[in-house]
Amino acid sequence: MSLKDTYRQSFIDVVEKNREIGFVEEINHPIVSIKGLPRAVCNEVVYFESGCIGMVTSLSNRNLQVLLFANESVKVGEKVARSGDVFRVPVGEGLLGQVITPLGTSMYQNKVIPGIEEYRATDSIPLPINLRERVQSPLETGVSLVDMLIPLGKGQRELIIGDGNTGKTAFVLQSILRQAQLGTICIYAAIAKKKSSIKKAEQLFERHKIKDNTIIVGSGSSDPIASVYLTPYVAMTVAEYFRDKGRDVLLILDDLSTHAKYYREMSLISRKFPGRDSYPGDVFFIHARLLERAGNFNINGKKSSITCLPVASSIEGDITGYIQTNLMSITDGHIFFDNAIFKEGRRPAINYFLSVTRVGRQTQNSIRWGINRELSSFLTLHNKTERFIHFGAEINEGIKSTLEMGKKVYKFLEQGSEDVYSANIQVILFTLLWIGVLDDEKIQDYRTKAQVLYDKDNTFKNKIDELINSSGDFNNLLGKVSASYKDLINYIEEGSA
Amino acid sequence: MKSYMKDTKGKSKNNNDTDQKIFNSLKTKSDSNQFIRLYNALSRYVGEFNIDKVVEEIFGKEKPHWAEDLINNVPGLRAGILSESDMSILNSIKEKINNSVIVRIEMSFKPSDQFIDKVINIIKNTYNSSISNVSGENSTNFMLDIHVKEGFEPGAVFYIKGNILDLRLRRIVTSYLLSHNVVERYL
Repeated sequence: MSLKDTYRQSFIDVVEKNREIGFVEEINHPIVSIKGLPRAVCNEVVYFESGCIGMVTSLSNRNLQVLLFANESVKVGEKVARSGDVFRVPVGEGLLGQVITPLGTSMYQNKVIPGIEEYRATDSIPLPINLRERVQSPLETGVSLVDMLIPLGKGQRELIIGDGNTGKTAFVLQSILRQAQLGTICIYAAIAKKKSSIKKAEQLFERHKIKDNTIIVGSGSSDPIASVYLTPYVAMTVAEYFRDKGRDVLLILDDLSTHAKYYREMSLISRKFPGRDSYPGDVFFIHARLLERAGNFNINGKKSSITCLPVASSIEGDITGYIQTNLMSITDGHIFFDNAIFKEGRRPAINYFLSVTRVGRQTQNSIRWGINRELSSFLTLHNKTERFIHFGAEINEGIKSTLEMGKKVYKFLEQGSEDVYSANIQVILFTLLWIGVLDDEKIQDYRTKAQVLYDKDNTFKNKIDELINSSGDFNNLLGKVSASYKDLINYIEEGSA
Repeated sequence: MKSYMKDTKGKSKNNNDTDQKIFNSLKTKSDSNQFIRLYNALSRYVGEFNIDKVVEEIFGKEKPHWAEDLINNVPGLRAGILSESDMSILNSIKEKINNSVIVRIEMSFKPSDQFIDKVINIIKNTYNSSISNVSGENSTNFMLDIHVKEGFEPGAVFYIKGNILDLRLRRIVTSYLLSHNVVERYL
């Protein structure tokens, strides 16, 4: 039985059950005005006689508006029946490793998803503050620049903002790689993306063998507006299912500025009053109520978190746009991907000076906190020095060493789009760089070798972990590494040989 | 002044009676659509007109059953020029059509006029008495939207304000048999 036949049958069943009917009065695809259905409620699913489904979006004395979940339109005068239930999506352990549509079906044709445990309403109320906790554990993204300078915590909501093609998606996929390796459930909501991009993300997860910890909720740019609109809500609903099971979840919403554009289209069609940039008045609310569902939770002693990284596109580096500033005010900071840095060839193209993390630093231990402090003040100094030498000032020894160190640090922070490093490897390699035993040619090479060794050699892993855990702070670690760096470097070279 | 007011009141009451009378003769949605076509045609006329010709132009040789009632009750139509009070009657009928509740009926045969009259009376009496009991609202006008479907089971299905009243014979008989436990009692 095709999906359309199923919905046709559902129409007959719900007419029998609810004894209510409505008729299509006006169509502004995908918004349909219905007359009838006197007891319909907002967000209720309705079935059309032709085998389409929709969701009630607004009610008035005269008629009700329904958002159609189909690309093909319905006919004026067609019968509509209400289901008696709000829109729900299937959730369960079976979703792990799947690529699903916002309706909860597989994106692959005729593929049935097993292991569905329950059906959840997509529009749930965010948990109250008595079930929430301060963000206190760090969230590794595997990207050195972020983990060291703009650290994130579990339960944080951090906006990823920047122009198109500056590496935002690459960064969020790297974060998924690292977190999935650590056992976190990672959900990637691809909002109005190309189907090929969704496929690429899936292939990336397959290649790195992390598919079992990931779920892709995707809508293509040619999908019905309703599917695009629902994508982030469905992804959040799936995240909440795993949160309630006591799991940590990383949720990526890629991207909410596109989501806002689709919502604007929908609102204009349904004749909502346009406001700034023609967005409807409730565009802030639709994102705020979504992101408020993320956080760090303690539900009756069961600790869990939903870390949410919404993505927003900017135009020509302007981060003062309406949607961008809305999202900035909702989230706990933002990471800014700079087009100028991207053109310089630095990857990831993050502008540290324009990025903010409001709650991430409180999750760091004293060593990482020390590194963060040292590195931040050094980059500020380096930035000032670079601007200073533009005036053609005489370069003394101090300036020269700052510039050289800057070169090494930036080399250290550079990273390929599929490379992720564990926190301790980042700490050790940075310490080696800071004491001046690594030159900029070898940094990348050593880091890759050290990571490979760390993953497969337990002796090396224990050695590194012990070295870091036994050091009270960064200065202490500097001392210890200075004393034993030769052993470390030899071990890395021999181990990888 | 007083007598003038009395006169206008009386005139307006007369108009109300006339438009309600004409509206009552428009029993179905297709009748109302025909009336709207005539109304639109008349509003386009400038100067005098011949109502019989106008009706023939729009509907052909077969005059709608309500047309005679309309022509007899709106004096300007026969005279070929519409006064303000004539227009107010026509406008008021149009308004009544717009505000009426449409009752959709699906059945297998074309119903007779008596059937339609009966249905309208039953619905009107039942609905209006229940509404005035609850909220004291004025009476509501109804209009039948009849859909004849070939192969439809005997009986009819009514759709009133989004609610379904399924009066198909098979369904009524089945529910009777089930509610009276006929199978266990007699078979």
